[in-house]
Amino acid sequence: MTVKMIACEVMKEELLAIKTQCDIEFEFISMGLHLHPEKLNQELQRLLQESVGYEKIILAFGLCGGAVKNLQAGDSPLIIPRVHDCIPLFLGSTDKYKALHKAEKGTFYLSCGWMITEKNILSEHQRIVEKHGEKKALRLLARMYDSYRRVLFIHTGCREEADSFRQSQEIAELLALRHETVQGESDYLDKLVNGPWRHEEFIHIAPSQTVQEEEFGIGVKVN
Amino acid sequence: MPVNKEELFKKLSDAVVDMNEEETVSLANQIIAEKVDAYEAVEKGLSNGMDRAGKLFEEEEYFIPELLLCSDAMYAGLEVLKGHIKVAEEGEKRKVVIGVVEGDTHDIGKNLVKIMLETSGFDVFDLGRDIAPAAFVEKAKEVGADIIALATLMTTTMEGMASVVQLLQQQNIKDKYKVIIGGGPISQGFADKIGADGYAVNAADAVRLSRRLLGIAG
Repeated sequence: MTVKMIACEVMKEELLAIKTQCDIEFEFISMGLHLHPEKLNQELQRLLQESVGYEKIILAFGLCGGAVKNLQAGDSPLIIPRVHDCIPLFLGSTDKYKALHKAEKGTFYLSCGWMITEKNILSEHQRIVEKHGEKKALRLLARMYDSYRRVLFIHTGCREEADSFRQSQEIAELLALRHETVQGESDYLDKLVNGPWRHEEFIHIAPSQTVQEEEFGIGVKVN
Repeated sequence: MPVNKEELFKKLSDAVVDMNEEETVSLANQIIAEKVDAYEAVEKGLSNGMDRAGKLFEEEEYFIPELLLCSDAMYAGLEVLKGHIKVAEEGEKRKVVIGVVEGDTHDIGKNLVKIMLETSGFDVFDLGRDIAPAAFVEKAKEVGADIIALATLMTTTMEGMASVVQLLQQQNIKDKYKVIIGGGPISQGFADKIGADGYAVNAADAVRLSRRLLGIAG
């Protein structure tokens, strides 16, 4: 039987670069939905219901703003990385992400996949400049990205990475943030594709069971 | 001829949705001149406009910049109207301590809630963003708050909300405060789980919830 992986297109290049040890069918979901967790949830649920007769289904998503919460597995077991978003997957481990986050909470993470949507920051800015003038546009940017202090570009070895890298620099410049880079690691993504899917790193959902947000370590009941 | 209040409110709401700051201010001035109730104008005009803008965002007609421009228009209108809002006669304002929980620095939503609460006559103490659980509790004790309002956009920081409730319980003072929570990934289910008193889906809802929890009419 075949394994099916339903994945966010943010990690398409990285996933396809990994050597698979079994027969995997990939389906990629547009990143356009990540700003709308409820719609993403509906789309993922639809795909899970449609995906019948697989040995297992791997969902290459994190909790993603709650989009994965309450998803119900179809007739196959479901495996989900135990992460809130894709950044730990690109970095190779949750520990590495935690260390980077601790060093700078206001980090705007980018990778080549993230540029699919985030390059829009540049065109959006242009659109607002044309519509509302430069002064207002800059004031808006300052408010939207006020919580960030640095852009951190994760090198994952994509084909067009030079373009993405340059765009990430342009974004940093536009938002007046410092620009830094970090080398990604493929360990976590490799395990996502080929296993082992250890419980510390992956959530296992039995057929027709539902994903609880507690699995991601939140909402633990207080007395 | 008596002015048509509803029509003015509708125009005010439209001006907010259209991100038209000047028009909003001019309508707000007209409302004052015509002696229309300022609070009603805020609710049925300005915040109604923000509600509609929020819906347009959900429908992907509007993006964050548009929402901010709408809130600019709303705020400009508010500046005109707020001095004319009749403050409740029975004296002291109810107090809210508000902030974004520890680890999160996104505060656009929190700021909107703050503005709306202030507009509705609450005394709001804004701790800012990336705030430790103990700081909420200490501030609430210090000012004698009625409500502690917690916000987060990230799922990684939701636990901080549970920590605030837990701290209050440990100190046996949970009954003194109403804890309300909100933000992108938050749900009523999560509020129930952590023992918060309520969940608000948006800024206008946060005002309604606060009033309901404190038994304030309106």
